[in-house]
Amino acid sequence: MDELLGLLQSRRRRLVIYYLRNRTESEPVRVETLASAIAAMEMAEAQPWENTEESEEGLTQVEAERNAEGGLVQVEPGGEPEADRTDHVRISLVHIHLPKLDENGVVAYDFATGTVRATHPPDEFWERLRSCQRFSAGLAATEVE
Amino acid sequence: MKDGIDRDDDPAVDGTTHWCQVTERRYDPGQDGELTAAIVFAVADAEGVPTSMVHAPPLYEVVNVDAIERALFDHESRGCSGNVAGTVSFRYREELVRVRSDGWIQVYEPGEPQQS
Repeated sequence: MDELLGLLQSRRRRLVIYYLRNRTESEPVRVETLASAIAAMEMAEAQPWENTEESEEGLTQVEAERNAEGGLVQVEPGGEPEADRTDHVRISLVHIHLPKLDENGVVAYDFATGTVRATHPPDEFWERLRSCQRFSAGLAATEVE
Repeated sequence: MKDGIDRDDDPAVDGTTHWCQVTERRYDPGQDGELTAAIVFAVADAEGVPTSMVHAPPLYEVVNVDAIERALFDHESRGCSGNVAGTVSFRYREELVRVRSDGWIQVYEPGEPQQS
């Protein structure tokens, strides 16, 4: 669970995971395109995961979507980000975020072609996510006087 | 051994390579966002290439940039206010990169070709 929280600790990484899983195109996306989309979402202060239907079985729903090959809400980028910002995002993606996400099996990053795509994350990823969910449900059920 | 940033930190540590500083760049943790980008900009500047040429290897495989950021610049979480002096040096590509707690990122290149 620590590892998962570390992975999801970065907002930029959360946006990457979310963006990749919600694309309609099946071919890998170029890193430059991804960087531009992430920069736009950051500019718009997008929290795309807040827009989905909130339900008690949130994760079950996510898993259902996973099996349905990505059918979540399409992320709307908020305007064209300036080149400088996109460049910063691209650098952090290429140097930190994509290698880290790839190592954890959450995305597939092809260094040689400079492209990236969503993967079916390993079972541990989902198990840890479930563990977080159980923690949060347990916490919500407790009361402090 | 002295603490802090002074000449004792001279990165010509391995005795065989002579390092010459080629560039330095100021990183402002509050302003510039990510240390990763600042390091890559400094290295690109040192090599005289666009940042897109500085992509291999990923810094992720070389150093833990988050840890450097926390160690040198995250004063609040340590409960002290900016009086920490320290330096982290690491080899990256052909260069030696030095990140100082005062925000300066310095890039060194080998000064004399090795004749072995």
